[in-house]
Amino acid sequence: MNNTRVSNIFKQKAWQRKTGIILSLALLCLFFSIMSHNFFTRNNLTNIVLQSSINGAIALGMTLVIITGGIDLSVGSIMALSSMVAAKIMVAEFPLAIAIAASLVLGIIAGVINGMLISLLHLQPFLVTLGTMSVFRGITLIISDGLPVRGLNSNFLNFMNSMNKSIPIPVIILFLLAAVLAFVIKFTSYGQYVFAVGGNEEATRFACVNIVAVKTITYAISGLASSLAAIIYMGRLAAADPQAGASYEMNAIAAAAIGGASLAGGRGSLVGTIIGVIILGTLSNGLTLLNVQSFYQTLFVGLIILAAATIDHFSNK
Amino acid sequence: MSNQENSTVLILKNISKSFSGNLVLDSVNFDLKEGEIHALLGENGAGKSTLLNILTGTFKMDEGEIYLKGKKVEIRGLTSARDMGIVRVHQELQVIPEMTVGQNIFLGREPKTRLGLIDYDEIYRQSDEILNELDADFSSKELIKNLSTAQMQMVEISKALHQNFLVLALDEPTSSLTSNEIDKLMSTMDQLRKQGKSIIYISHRIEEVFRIADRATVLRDGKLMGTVDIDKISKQELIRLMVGRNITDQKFNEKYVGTNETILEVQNLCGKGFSDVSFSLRKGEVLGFSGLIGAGRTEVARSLFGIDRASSGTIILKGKNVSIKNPWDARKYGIMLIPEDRKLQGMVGTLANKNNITLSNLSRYKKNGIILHNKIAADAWRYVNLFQINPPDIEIETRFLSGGNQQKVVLSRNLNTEPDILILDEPTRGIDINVKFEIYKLIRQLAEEGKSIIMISSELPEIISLCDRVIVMYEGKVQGELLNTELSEELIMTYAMGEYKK
Repeated sequence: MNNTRVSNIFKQKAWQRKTGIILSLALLCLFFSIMSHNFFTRNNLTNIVLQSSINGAIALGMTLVIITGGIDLSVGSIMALSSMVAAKIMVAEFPLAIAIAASLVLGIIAGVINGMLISLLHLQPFLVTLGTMSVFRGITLIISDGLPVRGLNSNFLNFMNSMNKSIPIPVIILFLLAAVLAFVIKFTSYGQYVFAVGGNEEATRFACVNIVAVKTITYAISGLASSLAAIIYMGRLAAADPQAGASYEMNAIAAAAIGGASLAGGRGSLVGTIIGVIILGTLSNGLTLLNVQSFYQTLFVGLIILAAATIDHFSNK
Repeated sequence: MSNQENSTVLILKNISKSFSGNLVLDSVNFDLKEGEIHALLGENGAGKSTLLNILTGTFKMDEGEIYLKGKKVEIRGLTSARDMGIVRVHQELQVIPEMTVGQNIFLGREPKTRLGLIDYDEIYRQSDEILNELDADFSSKELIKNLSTAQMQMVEISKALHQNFLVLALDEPTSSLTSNEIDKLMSTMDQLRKQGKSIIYISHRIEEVFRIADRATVLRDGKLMGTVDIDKISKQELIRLMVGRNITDQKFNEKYVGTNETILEVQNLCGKGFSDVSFSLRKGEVLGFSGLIGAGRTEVARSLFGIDRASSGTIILKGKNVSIKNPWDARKYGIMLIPEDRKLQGMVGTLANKNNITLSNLSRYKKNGIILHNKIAADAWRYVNLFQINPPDIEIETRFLSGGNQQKVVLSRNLNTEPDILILDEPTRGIDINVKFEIYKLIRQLAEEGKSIIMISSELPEIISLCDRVIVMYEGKVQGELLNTELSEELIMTYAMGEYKK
């Protein structure tokens, strides 16, 4: 009987972590609602999620990578590369579908390259993706001559800036991605293996799991999520920019960490990451509404990450 | 009376401790005399580690008093305990592989030259003195990573000696040593005792306790069962005190149960750490693999399971030549391995019990590619109930279980794939007696059900009481094969030391 009580305490702790971040978000919203009349309006709240959709898509892929115990620094460069290729194809007046497909396939290929280098050659994820971050960025700069591409397909731009039942299309893309990944995590063996590999890779190998496949798929998903972010980015800026996505990897890591993902692997949740993304978005939106200088926003983001790391450390004890 | 007071170094009085409302130590008393080796016994979860953790300042006790040399002391933390002369050598050795022996011994207390720099001459001079005293066979300038586990332990003891300890706590020091190394450690302990040092000794091995200890204190479920003089008690009585019931030196392999049907035939297998290994495994038998640590037994097992690739040789499974490239090939052929290091290789600590149990064959739980969680839960409960895994909870993360229960989870995961051949590499290491016997019974039961078992073990009594046939390895080669009728510790050891050749 005592033992059942012990196990209940551990379950409670996991629950407390989740309610902890939801509560933080609620407090943040409460604070900004009191400070500004313009905060708690339907329009502004939609706006927060819309502004978070690029970071959100990247952070979802990053969460899977982090759960396996890895890291993907190349996400921003993959986003820049696949948006640049898609834009070039659009400008060359190929059908829109080809441009979109090329962008997504490119993201997957980039991810597979990361995953193969990491899992087959046993290279460190940090170094591999630091390298490919530069490689993909370099290719983007070379094919674009360092210049942005404008004049994208107008059907594409109209669609990306429209709403479905008053929900912006980028937000729908984000939640579709989240739903699909949540399903994969919960209901496929791959999803179960992601947590196993991150918890203890060696033991997972002894449990007859193909580690190379699990890791390669994970980085491929991260690449795919980055190219979805590329599509949202092009829609919102009506351009592809070779410099786009610089330091996006850091925002994604921050969101995942705030959402409870452990950089040591084995832990993380997609719902947590989405809340993390929205916390970051709310903070920047709210501070802008209060006319706080953007320098302070940077400062606050840092403090939130430190707070999340501290809370996580103590709740894991 | 006053004489006795003087010779007592340490007294723990009515120590109690609870975790989240769970009483893990219930007013326990313990005392340690000068020049005494006092064994602390009990099954996993009995409270030995908690008591040691309180003594060394890792945990704070809820109630109780600690007297050191007759004076009441308050231990505030690790450093406070160390300053008082209480030193613990952990089961997992805490030495830094990239540093020299001397640097490790003096870590944090390096002597300085007049310029304030580290005085290495002094470090190595003093370290060699201590090592000589202990009769060590290595120099203080050797890098730790080049030492064997036993030698590293010697370094830890030297570290304690350098701090001039009052109380030395050795936590399962022999669990990864060969019998020669154990002999050496025992003589070191004896030497320290003669110098008047006091040692608390935790071990699961009853034989060793009888060999070396003066007294033994037994804990069960956080309660003190008694403190006894070793020369006034029998092994049986002591075991009964620990487990609360009588376990005899049971023999599990009275008659040969294997059949004549050969399921696995290994011919001239070569690989890293072994060469020219040939043997056959029959249906329904328990085949033991004995030998010293490093004899190549684990390496053979790893290559049969596809973790490492064999460089040459033939594996014939049920009459067919097979090549096992990776663990999922092995599973497909019905071969599973329970690895030697449970925490690093056997289980994913951060997964729930149900996910560990079903990790090796998740495909069985899929319908149209979708995982059915209720089927996973049902199978997990089946094993939790079958093996009485404690706490009986499929959602709790496996890392929170005791060693024995973790091993039951690992066993469940492997059995859940319904293997024909099960390889167990040191399956009872660091596991308490009750669970050990459950595992022995399970192994025999599996053999009777027609499964074939390969059992790698360094504990001779285990090999002798369990196996139908035993292969003894020496320096990567098969040195001999023994039938259960001719098994004896002496004979196995003679082969294991490379004395005879078949």
